[in-house]
Amino acid sequence: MVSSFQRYIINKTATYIVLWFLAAFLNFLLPRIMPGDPIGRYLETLYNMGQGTTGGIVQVVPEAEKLRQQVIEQFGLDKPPYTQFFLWLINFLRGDWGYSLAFPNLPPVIDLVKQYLPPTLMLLIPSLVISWVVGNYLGAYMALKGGKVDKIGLSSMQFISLIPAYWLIIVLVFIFGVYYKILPVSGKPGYMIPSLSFDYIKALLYHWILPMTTITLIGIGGWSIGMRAYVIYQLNANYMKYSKALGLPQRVLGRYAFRNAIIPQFIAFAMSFGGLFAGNLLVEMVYGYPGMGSLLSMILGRLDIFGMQAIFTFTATMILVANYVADIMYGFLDPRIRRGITEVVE
Amino acid sequence: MARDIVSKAQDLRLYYILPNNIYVKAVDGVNIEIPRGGFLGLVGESGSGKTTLAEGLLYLIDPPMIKISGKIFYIRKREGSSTEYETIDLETLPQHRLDQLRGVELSLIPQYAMDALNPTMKIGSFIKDVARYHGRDVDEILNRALERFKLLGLPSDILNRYPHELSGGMRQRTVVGISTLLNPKFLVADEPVSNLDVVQQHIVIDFLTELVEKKIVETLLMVTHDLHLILEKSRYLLLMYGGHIVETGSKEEVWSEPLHPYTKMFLESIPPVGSRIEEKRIRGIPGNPPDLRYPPPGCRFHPRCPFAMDICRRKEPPEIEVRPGRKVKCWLFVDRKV
Amino acid sequence: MGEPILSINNLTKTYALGLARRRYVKALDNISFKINKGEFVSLVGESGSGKTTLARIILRLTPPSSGEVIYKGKNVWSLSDEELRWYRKEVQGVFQDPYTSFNPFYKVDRALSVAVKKFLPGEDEHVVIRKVLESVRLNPDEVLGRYPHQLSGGQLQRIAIARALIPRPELLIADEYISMVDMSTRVDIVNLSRDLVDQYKMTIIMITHEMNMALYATDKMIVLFKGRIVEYGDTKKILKDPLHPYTQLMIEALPRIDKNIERKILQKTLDAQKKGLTESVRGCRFAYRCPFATERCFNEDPVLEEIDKDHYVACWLHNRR
Ligand SMILES: Nc1ncnc2c1ncn2[C@@H]1O[C@H](COP(=O)(O)OP(=O)(O)OP(=O)(O)O)[C@@H](O)[C@H]1O
Ligand SMILES: Nc1ncnc2c1ncn2[C@@H]1O[C@H](COP(=O)(O)OP(=O)(O)OP(=O)(O)O)[C@@H](O)[C@H]1O
Ligand code: SF4
Ligand SMILES: [Mg+2]
Ligand SMILES: [Mg+2]
Repeated sequence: MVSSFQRYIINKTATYIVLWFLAAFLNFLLPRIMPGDPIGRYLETLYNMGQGTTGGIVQVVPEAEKLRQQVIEQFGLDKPPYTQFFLWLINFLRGDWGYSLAFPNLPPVIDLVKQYLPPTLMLLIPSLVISWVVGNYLGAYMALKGGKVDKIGLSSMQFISLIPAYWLIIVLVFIFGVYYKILPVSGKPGYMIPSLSFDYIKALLYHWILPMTTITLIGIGGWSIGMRAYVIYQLNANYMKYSKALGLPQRVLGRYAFRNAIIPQFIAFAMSFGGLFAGNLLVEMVYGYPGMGSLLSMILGRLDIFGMQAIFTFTATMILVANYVADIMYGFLDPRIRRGITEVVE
Repeated sequence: MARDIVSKAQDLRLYYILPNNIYVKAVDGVNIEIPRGGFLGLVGESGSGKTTLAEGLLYLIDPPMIKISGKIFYIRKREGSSTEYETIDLETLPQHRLDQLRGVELSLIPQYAMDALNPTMKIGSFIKDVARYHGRDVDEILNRALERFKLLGLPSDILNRYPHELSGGMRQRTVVGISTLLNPKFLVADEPVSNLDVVQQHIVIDFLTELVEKKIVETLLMVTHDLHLILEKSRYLLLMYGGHIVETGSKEEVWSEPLHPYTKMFLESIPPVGSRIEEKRIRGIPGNPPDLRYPPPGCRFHPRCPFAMDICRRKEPPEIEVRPGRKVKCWLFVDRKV
Repeated sequence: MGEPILSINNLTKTYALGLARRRYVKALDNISFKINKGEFVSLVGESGSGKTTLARIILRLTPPSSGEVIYKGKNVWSLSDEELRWYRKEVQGVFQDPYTSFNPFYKVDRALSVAVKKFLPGEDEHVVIRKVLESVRLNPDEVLGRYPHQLSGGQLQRIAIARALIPRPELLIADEYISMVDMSTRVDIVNLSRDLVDQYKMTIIMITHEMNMALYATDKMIVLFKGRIVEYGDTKKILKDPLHPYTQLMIEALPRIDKNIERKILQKTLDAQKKGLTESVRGCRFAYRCPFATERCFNEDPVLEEIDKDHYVACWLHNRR
């Protein structure tokens, strides 16, 4: 007798594995269907940076051919397609993600990720946690207070979450960077290569505050609006009316509403985790923050197919993992969902 | 006087406000005195305002329900006195005092009983909260709950179950148990047996009757469509039609001599036990219930009334007190009195 | 008679409770019966006897633990996608709890118009909706445009019925669909159901606690007790001569206005309840409440047997085997 709880987990697991294969396959196709000439673009880059041969594009052609040959060999492009796919998959799982064409020295993509991911996580995890906690608290507070507090709170949260991020950035930059001149406006930590040196970390922190504030504020807006809606929905539920008819005080009703409303927010929290790994393109770019967003923008800008392939697969994997965790959590948090789980098959 | 009445509404108008600012006049000018003690019945057509009135008597008035006019009183024995009664205007009572009364002295078995329990809370945890916030001994109340749930025929592991693990009728009985747990003096039961089979109906009704007979619950006002039940058990009846109370009186009086034309038709619509459709097709009351957004002028029953006279179409009939406690709201009885 | 429209074969459903300490509830215990096209069938039985569970299994909302549901020759639990669409149109349900059967964020109109769009494409939505609402004795002008919580219990319940009638189903499963309306409206709805069966050959399974209404209008009756069928057959025969003591109890317990009627079986039930007697685990599940129970009843399971044409009962008082 398989309990349906186990069946549920098996089902979910199977679904996510299939989804992952699908994502990996699409990413595998990517370089094969991309328009443009990525390798040509790479050589152009070399040339523009003055590191290429001085003779101009024409003289580069033989080198391009050589590079092409290398690439074909490395990715087994001469083998049958399915072998290519599995070869690629195995390499990906082993951490061999190919070389990035976005940088002149062709660094391994995995090394780039190792460099750029920590600053991104350092930026996004705290902001996700803070905005989640503060947002939920504010949202619940607005819903429970009602009246003026709710009206004013809701409109300001809507304002924050609806104004385009760059607006907020301009305002923050103006206040702290231009007016008070206490924080840097833009630029990487001194064009330094990310490392573990003390100077670098200090510079990073210095550059961290503004993007962090921006992302957190936007997040608070979104979370609080969601939470407010969930709490209001709970407050209108029949069980709330009944609890009130039995004389349970307002604060207990508030607790019930909060507890039932936070369930979907937990799930959403777990799901947003996956997104962290993609970085925040806009904010990182504007502030010149050296995270995954910036890395991605470079890679996209230079048509670095191998970088894209690897990073897309990587973020897709993380997003799927996060959703998978969220799905399983759902079953545990809500007994009504568990209902499906607790049914038995003899 | 006060000792004979447990609850009173004067010129009560409870409307619902629809998003387009139109009112649904669910309770529209009701004057009633609910006699103290025993089993009372409130009956009437679906949509006639019974639930609204019932909630109003406990002052459970929240938007979109609004009170347009009127007063609602609860009358109880003054604390520490055996003879004196006090009349409490529920509107002027501060919220925390109202909370202290609810569930303890005034209680409701809501019509939405099947949907009345917090879906993520076990029955036991909810009962603990109810006991705790009314300052009762939690274990004592839990034990009492178990005992009463047993009388109601619920399984012994009920405290450990989530609401969705119970059938519809089991949820309804659970709510009956919870609403009576703190031994309220005045209990309003809105369709407490609507999802129970006839046997379970007896079990629940006997349970409630016993509480009443033992004076644990002093007054039980039951709203129900199971007319037989009310006719079998109750001592006093209130009939509602289109937002008005149209007739009141003791059960015997109403049953043997219904006055209002609606009451007559209503009682005739009870299908006799054991009749078959091929032999005799029973018919409901012809015509449609009034649209409470735009109730008809005059008597609200006139479009369906076989006795309607000219005046019925123009003027709202007054309430005629035929005898003390026996009232009817119909033009047919105006002359009789004078 | 021909092929039955619905056959239930050896259906069993067990629920498990609790994540850590598992307990089991057997909601349905090896149930079998057949229903012909154009029959009005009532399913009655004690609260918690598995009626809703059965309805949910037929409607494909809860999977059975074992056994099968055959609709027009097809196993309902292994339909192809296309057959499923067909099934969802032909078989409609009205759910026991009208408060949770509607999406609270949408006006009730939406549920109705979605049904028209989906099942009756090309028909005038407005006309269809008004007609069906009037047939369940609602005033369309009054109820349309409202959210579910803005309606009384009985109004909401009738909207659920209206929604289920829109696709003009072949088979309608109505779980306590008249529990929240007044007696006069109950009669109207049951009469309407009878007409749908007689005129359109609709098949209706009415789950109800209103024994009186079931006896009044239905062709066949299934009596369930603790997950088992105890009596099943022609309603008229059951009305005239109820065989199982539980069926007798249900009829005896019908409220009557004359006060002093004797209710022997009921008294026994009430006493058992007060003494806290729990159900028999072996033998006939009704034994501990049955005034006629013998030694054998407590030890051996009675089986459902055809006592008379179209009249089955599972009780040692009648079983010949
Ligand atoms: N929240 C609401 N908003 C608007 N109208 C409402 C609301 N609740 C109820 N109504 C309307 O008020 C009228 C009275 O409703 P109420 O629930 O009091 O009726 P009832 O007599 O209890 O009916 P039933 O027997 O069907 O439960 C109905 O016409 C109903 O449509
Ligand atoms: N999701 C569930 N999890 C666990 N047990 C359940 C679940 N649903 C129903 N049950 C149990 O199964 C049994 C049958 O329930 P079901 O809802 O089918 O009864 P019913 O005949 O419809 O009763 P009622 O007339 O009270 O609605 C009950 O004992 C109930 O507690
Ligand atoms: S007042 Fe007129 S219309 Fe109304 S019930 Fe009496 S006789 Fe009929
Ligand atoms: Mg009601
Ligand atoms: Mg049910």
